[in-house]
Amino acid sequence: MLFLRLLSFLLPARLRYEWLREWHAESYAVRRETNAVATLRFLCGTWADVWALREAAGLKWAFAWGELLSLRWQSGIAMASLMMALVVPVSRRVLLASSYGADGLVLMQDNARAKISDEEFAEWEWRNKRQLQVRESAFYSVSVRRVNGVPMRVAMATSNLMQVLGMKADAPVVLSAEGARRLGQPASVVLDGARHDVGVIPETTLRLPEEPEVFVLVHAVPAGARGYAVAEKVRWAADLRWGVELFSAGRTRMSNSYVPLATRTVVPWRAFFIALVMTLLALPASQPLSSRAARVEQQGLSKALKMRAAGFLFLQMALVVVSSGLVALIVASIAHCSEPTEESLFQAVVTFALALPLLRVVLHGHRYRCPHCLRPLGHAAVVGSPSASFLDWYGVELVCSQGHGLVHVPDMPTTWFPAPRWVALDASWSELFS
Amino acid sequence: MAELPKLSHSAALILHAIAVGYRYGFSVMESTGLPSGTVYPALRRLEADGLIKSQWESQAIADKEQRPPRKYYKVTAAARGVLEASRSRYPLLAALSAPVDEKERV
Repeated sequence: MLFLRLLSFLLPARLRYEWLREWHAESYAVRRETNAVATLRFLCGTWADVWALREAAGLKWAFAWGELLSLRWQSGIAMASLMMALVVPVSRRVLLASSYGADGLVLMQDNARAKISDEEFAEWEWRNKRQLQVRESAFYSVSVRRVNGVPMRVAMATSNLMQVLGMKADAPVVLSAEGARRLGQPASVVLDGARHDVGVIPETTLRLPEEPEVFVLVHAVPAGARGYAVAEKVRWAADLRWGVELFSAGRTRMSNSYVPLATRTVVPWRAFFIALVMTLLALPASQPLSSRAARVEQQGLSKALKMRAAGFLFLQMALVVVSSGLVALIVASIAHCSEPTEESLFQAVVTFALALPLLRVVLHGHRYRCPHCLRPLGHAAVVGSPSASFLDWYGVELVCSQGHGLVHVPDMPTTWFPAPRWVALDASWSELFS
Repeated sequence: MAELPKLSHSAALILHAIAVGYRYGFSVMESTGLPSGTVYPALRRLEADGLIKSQWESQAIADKEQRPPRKYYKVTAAARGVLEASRSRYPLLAALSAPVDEKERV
């Protein structure tokens, strides 16, 4: 049984075989004489047994959480986060996708209605081109139809849609990367009883409204279709959020506004950098780090050593930030928010929520590292008593295991001993640490 | 004379169950009603204290019954005194775990 085999690895090698053999025999008897639920309940006892055997063998369960602050662990966590982000399908697509180059592309929308009719599109297109607001515009209308027998979101689109999106269309029927995956990367598809050769557009994080999986490019969309207008604005039409009042031939009032397609594109780095800025702004505002005890007086240390310690801290912080960003990307991808802006916000919040406390832990740990070998200081000893605070200090003394020095941490900051102080040990102490 | 170890109620119950003929972990569980998470660690401790000893069933018997070989436990001579002391300390011990019939004894 795989579960027992995996659990047996927690035991010392000399106990493993016999333990596995006994539990295998016992669980066989339980399976034969009881049901699946009782077997599961029985197997719950394996953990207690492993625990007892490990304790009897003198193996401690206590995990040194301080180890997590080592570069080895942090690099491992960052690598694991990256691997996981590349394994989880949704976050993998976000990481590896390219957008259509959505800058400069807009959705022409009516303020009151999400969809517009083909007639309204024609009116808008005519007016916008005349007013030199847009260079090119396209229209698509989505409906669910069967493609190769599979119900899919099919967009009937004007033939210039791919051109507007900056894509090359080498066939009249184009599949999105997601659509091609669903259909098994076909060379042709059957739609409405006719077979069509298909092209496939690259992976993208741009989410067009209704997220079409198949684009059928036609000269003119069917009359009466309702859908969405995508346009490429002219360079100088900078203010994309202004609205205009139009009156169609039938004197119908339309309120036209532009929504940048960039807001419909999931750009993971954008959310990450916003969260990073928020974190860096919030970090000094957190109370313990802003106190005077946050720094360690390191008088007498060479500039090179200080730079080395600063570089180490920077590397630790960078690894924490990268890990947080990747984990947030995975979480946001799995959450699969309906709108790209929601997804970005979710990602930014998760990044912030992870990075801020972790950075504080890193900074706290860095305070008690030896500036020479960068190992955590240990062997804490209480020194003095509160009465010694008059002209002296009392508190905790931490020592470098390699004998480079001590850090004196006062319990009560005083004017003459306000912050932890590094005390270097000279070579005469080396015998004690050899 | 060395002082006899005082067993907890669960350990005493398990030792008593083994003494009356329940010889492998699952049968001890069934007779005592204790969960596996209690029985197996207790068996390890009792064995480490020298109150029980274990022996693997021969492969031939297991093959004959078409199952994996079991690890059987039996009380040691050193456990007799502890068992008596436990029975006097926990008078209801015998009632909680009935002896195995000879024909059921494995």
